[in-house]
Amino acid sequence: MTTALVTNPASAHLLGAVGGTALWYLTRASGVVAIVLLSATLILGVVASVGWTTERWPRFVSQDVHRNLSLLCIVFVGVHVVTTVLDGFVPIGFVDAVLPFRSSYRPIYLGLGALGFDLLLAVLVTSALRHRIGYGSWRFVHWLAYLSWPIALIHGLGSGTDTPLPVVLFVEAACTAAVLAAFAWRLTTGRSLPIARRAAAGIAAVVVTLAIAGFAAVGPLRPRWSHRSGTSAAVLAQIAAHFAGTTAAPAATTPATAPAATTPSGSGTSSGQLPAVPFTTQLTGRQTQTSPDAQGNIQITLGMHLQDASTTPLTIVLTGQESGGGVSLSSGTVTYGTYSGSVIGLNGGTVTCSVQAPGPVNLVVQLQINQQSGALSGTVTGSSGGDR
Amino acid sequence: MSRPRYKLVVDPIACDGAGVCAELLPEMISLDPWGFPIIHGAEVPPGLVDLARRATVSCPRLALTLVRIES
Ligand code: HEM
Ligand code: SF4
Repeated sequence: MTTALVTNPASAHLLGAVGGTALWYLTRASGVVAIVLLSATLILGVVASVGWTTERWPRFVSQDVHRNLSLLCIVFVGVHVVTTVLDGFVPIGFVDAVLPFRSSYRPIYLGLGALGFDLLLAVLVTSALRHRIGYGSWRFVHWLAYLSWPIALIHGLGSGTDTPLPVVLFVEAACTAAVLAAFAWRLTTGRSLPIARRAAAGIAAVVVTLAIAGFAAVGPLRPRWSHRSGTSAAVLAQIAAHFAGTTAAPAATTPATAPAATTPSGSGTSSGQLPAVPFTTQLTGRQTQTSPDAQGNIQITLGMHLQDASTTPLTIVLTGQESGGGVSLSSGTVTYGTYSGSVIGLNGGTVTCSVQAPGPVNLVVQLQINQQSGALSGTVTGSSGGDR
Repeated sequence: MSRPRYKLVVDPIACDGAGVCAELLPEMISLDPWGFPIIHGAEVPPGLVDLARRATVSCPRLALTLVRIES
């Protein structure tokens, strides 16, 4: 099965990440800010609810800060959702953001995100209509706020590109500790809760915490998470080439028996005959990838031939480091005929290269990768790079 | 046409003595030794109506209401 990279539903989101870098960073950052704000909102709800006050901090202040933080939180969740949709574009629509478990990209973790979003909306709307719907209904829905928190956390752990980043892990661990403490405080001091329910809630909190910790340990914190959560090898190779250093799990599907050749597979067969720019021509080839060596270095080689009369060899080698269960690629080199150059951009299945052949030439390579065999096909467009 | 007149009413069953109302409207509400509100005055002075409404909105139990006095 040959899949166009950009339309592969399992991958297009992350590919978008490579393309729309600014949006992608905004998605990740707003997600992290949102979980912090959600934690703060929840904690202030508890502070108000247990009736903790001082001379300087009356209860209505806790309530007001609680309400305002919740609004700020939903704003960040909104930014998070909108940037995700605009960025991923094809596979995640606005509908996926509210209807859980129907998206094709990591359905479970995105579904949890949608579910958490729904819960927050329900809590907000019922709060706004508190006087209209009465205390009982508001109270009932407001309990769901506690449920939204672990849901949001699992969503973040399971779908975040950032999960292996120590800073993000630290933030999430700190939020977890703070929320657990607040919850324990609520269960031990708060009024109007029968003892049996407190005990049940306490046990549930312990179980859920252990389950999330266990999940994080066997899932996202281990290498190859995005591979297992439904992102293909070829795609990961593309993502890995994101030069800004995005981390993504490696896809060592081709255990290297020998280091990947850095020379074109057809090298030596043809030399000088390069097509004159500008041109567009078909190309075919294979993708191979090395397993990480002792230092964690990884190499992804796209060995191709232009389908012009002289079948000019074109090889792109992407190199990087395995780090914390991911790969951050640092550079890419190109061999074009007998000339060489470097990779200057990567967007979805499109690789842009700059070579001296012998004058400056820009090559834009659009690739489709057969994910089973690693076979490559696509087109390459050459243009004069003189203006660079 | 005269401006509407209001009084504050506490629902003693719903009220849990949270005391937010007394924080927000000390002019009219004080708390008894158990933290339950005592309303002073039969009618909310016109200048305090907005603050009184704010207090009713912030009552965590929705136990405090601003009731229009029919005349
Ligand atoms: C992101 C949305 C929100 C979350 C996660 C959230 C969470 C919470 C939590 C965990 C509590 C403590 C409940 C308890 O154990 O008794 C609480 C209480 C409360 N929340 Fe929210 N809440 C949110 C939005 C709002 C909004 C928009 C309002 C607007 C009025 C609101 C008003 C209240 C009130 C009045 C209390 C009770 C405080 C008290 O007893 O003094 N909440 N909330
Ligand atoms: S704020 Fe509401 S619950 Fe608290 S004391 Fe006043 S009336 Fe009672």
